[in-house]
Amino acid sequence: MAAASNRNTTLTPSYFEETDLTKEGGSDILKSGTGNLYTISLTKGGTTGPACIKFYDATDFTYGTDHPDIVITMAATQTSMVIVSRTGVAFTSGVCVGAGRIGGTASASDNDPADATQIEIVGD
Amino acid sequence: MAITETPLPGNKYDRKWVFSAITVQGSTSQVINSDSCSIFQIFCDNTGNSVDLYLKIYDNSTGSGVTIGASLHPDFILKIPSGQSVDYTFLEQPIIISNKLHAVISKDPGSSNGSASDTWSAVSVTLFGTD
Repeated sequence: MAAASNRNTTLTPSYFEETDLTKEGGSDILKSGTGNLYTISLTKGGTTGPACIKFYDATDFTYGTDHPDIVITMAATQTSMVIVSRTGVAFTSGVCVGAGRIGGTASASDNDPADATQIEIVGD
Repeated sequence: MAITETPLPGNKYDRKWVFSAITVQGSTSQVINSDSCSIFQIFCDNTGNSVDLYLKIYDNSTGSGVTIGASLHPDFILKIPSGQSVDYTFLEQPIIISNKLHAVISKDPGSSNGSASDTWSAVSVTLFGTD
């Protein structure tokens, strides 16, 4: 007997990916503009320095000036991390993403992550 | 506010830290765990408020609370959306705290120091991890 499918074909989530994240990674990346983030997949290349991945609840942002709403720091020796939120994390203005070597807001003179950091996001 | 640490039944290496009844930011962080640790899951309950809040985590060697503000950028920031309980699960690799686990709740995102007297209705944060 074939297993029943639980795939909901009415769902059309946003998908965003970037293979070498920089300070100005991407702006307004959700298809519907605002909504929830459900899955964030991060892969860090090499073993140099931390990679601090930052999400901004905005349609555009300036790295080092605007305050990020989510910051995930991957240690030098980490290679991958998947963040799942069953409830979703609500963004009311938009979603932008950037990355640097320093956590928090950091500064405009901060460096990009030393090693290629790959990101995939699934949201609304 | 209160912090409790509970060994989870069945495995003495698993830990649950409850950072509860938080109603004010304060000017310094709370020391949640005074040793290195890993965090696998975080659950935040902000259903009692109509304002976005932020859980800021610092990996810092200081035994007392660190001063909130741009002079010390948080290593991790998690958004706790308005009126929502939100769960974060970290698969493959946990959040790694190499020194001591510090945390604070703030109305302001990023490295902003906000206002130490900022208040809201009680928020609780539960962290699951390993010492």
